[in-house]
Amino acid sequence: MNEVEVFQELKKRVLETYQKSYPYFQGNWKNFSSKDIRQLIELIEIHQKETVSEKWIYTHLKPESNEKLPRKDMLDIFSKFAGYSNWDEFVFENIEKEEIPVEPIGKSAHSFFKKWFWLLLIPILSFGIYLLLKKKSESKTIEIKNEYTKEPVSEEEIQVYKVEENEKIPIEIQDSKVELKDEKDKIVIESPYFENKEVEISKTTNEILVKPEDYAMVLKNFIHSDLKDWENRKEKLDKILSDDLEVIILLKNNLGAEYLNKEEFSGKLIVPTSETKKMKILDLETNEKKVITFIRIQLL
Amino acid sequence: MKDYINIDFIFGVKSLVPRNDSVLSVLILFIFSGIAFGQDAQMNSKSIQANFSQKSILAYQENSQNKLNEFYEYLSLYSSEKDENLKKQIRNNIFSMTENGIQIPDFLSENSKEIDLSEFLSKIENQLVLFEIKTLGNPGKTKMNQWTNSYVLSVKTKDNSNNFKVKQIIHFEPKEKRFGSKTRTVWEMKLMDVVMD
Repeated sequence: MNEVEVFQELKKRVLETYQKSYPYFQGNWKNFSSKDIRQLIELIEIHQKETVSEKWIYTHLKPESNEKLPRKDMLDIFSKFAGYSNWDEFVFENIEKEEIPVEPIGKSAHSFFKKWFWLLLIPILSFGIYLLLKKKSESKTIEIKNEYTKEPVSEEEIQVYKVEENEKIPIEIQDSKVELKDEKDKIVIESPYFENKEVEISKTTNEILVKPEDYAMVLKNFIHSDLKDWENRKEKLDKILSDDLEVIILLKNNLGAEYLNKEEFSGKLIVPTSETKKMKILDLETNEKKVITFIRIQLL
Repeated sequence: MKDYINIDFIFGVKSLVPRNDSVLSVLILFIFSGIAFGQDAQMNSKSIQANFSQKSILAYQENSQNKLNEFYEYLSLYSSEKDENLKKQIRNNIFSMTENGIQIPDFLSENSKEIDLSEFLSKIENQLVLFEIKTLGNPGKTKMNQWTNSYVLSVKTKDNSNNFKVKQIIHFEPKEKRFGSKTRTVWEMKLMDVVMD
């Protein structure tokens, strides 16, 4: 059993441990719902005093098979959750010790056939590996770019989800690229800074262009600006923000929120400080007059 | 025949107890403590601890420390800014973070006597003062609607540089807040008086 296989075993144990707290859950990782994920995160927070993201669980625990081993620190957290001191102990306890066959004296004919068996098996295995690699090479890599500038979009600014049976499963973005195995896949790109987009993989090239949301981009620039041009910012903010504006600033780990009105929020952007630069726009709403009525911000 | 007092009005059941002074005293004490307890419970429902988990309280306390950094960044900017309109904007930002009429030690005077924030702002105008929080202590015990942040503040002028050990109360309570034409009750954090520690 290699370490990736041991990880499959750990996934089983994590489910078993979860079932101790939620005995009515009798399914497997495939039907582990988003509610279950939230409950699992909560259990880990309570028992391990560690934080695990929903995305991590979707990426590493929900898939039926895993190609590579996740990060060691995450393996440690889940090994502890399953009742072990860390991942190393889990591996030690669960990896099958290779048995060394003791060949009985006088069984040379049997040994001869065994050798031939292996010789025949090697080409079959090689062909299998070839097919596997071929399939992998057929997976499609798609780069996400800004429609106007044609520059790659930073992974911090977008979220990409695979749509499967009315469920959105987050996809890992690396260097502005996503890798998809199935041509039938449909993906959704969501971002406060770009217009949301739904794409069918079979109908796309290796590039997806997303259109910037003007208001979000303007606010993002203001958040990261310095004192210069403060009058321009003031004038522009007065135009694009509704008088009834509500701004919710979520504190770290969503443990609380601060509420700002138009005057307070504009003030922060007219005179930006190092604290203002910690703000990241999550969501933005406009009304029929095309002025911003609601902004949700995450404090980094 | 013994004299009895009916205590139905308290317990809602038929029960008679002998009238004597000690029983009456206990009853009166009981009634008043009940009223006091009721008021206390009503007050407590608006307390920080009744509304937030310990983790959330810690997050709000961390946020209050960020607010202090922002407050002193505004003071530094105000002390160096020449543009009157921008100064007015910075002044608005400062006052929107603080409770009305707060006091602050006059860090530029020898005795650091506490003065009104508006008076202090007038004193630092065009003085190029750099305020910076050097060390932040752990916030004090959470009370009904406040806690205290202690910190060491560095105050640098072109001729002088001093460190001051100060503490500042942070108010955190539910308030009616206006969002244009709408009003909502939200938990609002305000910075209070700064005092020498």
